[in-house]
Amino acid sequence: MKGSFEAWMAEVLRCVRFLPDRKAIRQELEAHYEDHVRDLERLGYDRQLARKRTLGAMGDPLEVGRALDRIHKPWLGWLWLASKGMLLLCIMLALFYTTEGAWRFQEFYMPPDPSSYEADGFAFDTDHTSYTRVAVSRGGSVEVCGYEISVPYAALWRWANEHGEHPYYSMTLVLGVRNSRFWEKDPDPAMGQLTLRDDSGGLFAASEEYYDYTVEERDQRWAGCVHPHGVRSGPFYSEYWYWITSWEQPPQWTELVCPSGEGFTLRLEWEGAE
Amino acid sequence: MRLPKLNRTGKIIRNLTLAVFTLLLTAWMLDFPCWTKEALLRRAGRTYLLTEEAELLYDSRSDPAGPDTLYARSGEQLLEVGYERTPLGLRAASSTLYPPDTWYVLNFRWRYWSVKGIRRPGGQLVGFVEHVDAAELEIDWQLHDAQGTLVVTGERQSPYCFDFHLQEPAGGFSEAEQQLLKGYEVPSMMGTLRLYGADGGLLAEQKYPNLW
Repeated sequence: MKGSFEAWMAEVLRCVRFLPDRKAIRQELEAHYEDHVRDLERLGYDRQLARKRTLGAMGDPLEVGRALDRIHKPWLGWLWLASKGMLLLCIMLALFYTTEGAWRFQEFYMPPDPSSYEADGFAFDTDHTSYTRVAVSRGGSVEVCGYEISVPYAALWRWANEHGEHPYYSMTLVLGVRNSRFWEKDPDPAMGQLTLRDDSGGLFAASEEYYDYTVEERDQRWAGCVHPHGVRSGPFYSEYWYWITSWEQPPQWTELVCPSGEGFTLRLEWEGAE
Repeated sequence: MRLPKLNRTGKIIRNLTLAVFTLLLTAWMLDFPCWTKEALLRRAGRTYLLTEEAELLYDSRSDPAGPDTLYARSGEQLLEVGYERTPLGLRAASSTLYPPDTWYVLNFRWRYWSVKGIRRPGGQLVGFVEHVDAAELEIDWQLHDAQGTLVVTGERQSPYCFDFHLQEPAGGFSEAEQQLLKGYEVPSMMGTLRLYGADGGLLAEQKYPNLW
């Protein structure tokens, strides 16, 4: 009789076209068959008769097989298997490359409140009490190559020795770059070429050019230098910090000039500074 | 908390959603790779605030161990973009926009290629060299106990590229040259690049105090 059930089962499974599901279907039908047999045995049927009656109750194998095939659609089955394989592959790729680029998880820099800039003192030497912030300014904004570039903060600092002698002025400046194309890199190369000019005709060179010359040549060519001092990056917003040295007298205005590509100019007014 | 039991369609949707999410994560880790070289150049150009579309001149493997390199013309400037191939596309590794007065670049490698274990120095000259008829690289090398001069003639690979690789002369390399090419001592090398026009006239000569 068990042999008859096997024949019934084989006929059912033949109808199921999605081969990987046949094993699970077999297990389910066998369990169902055995349960039914046990139920009948509990009612007093002998094993042989219980099996015969159960097999009869299982129905026409072709009908059952076709119904199961309708549920276990081959295309859906293969799609499910493909999605499993694809997910596994993607997870392996992600694991491999996430270890390489994990530092990016720290990169969610958002624009801060402008009043918090350098609230605790000169950014590059916070312990140095000889620096006094004498003016704060901000510039307009330009849109270049899809980047919105602005100066959310700039400050003029006065330095003097402990006797208040030999004062000079330097500037800290923040350039904010908004980039809606988060998948693209920030314009770092262009930002490294920034120069500055002031109302007295002084030119301040980009540091990458400035240090190619001797001290004497620098003094002849330029009034000072625009030093990039750090970058804070996020997917949509980055900030470039600059330190610009130096003036004997505070400027009335300064213009930040980027000569790279399309370039841009951003003007900062310093009137009223000390 | 027990997760809801999903039917097959639900599992497919779940798997594909997770796959897309992990692909996005991977793409982020890889700086969102580009699918084409043109896109890579466009992206590199934007970091220099270039608005003009860069025209691809040459794609080279400048160093067998290093990244591939694209050379392109953006306006009157030469743009060099090193890149790596990743499973999701091309990823920029470095970029250089040369000043307007630079119309060619020479990438020279001491271990450019090797034949039967003998190192052959060489490199590539890439740029706006369509009008250059011949290119020659003279290498003055020096080891602690030997010195000499090698002359390598450039072979045109494309209108924008000459390839330099040292060929064995008919009579074979001299003893000193064999010492240079087979030994482990790193030589000091000074190079002189000469570019000639169709009429044989010298178009440019540039000295490289440290060739590599």
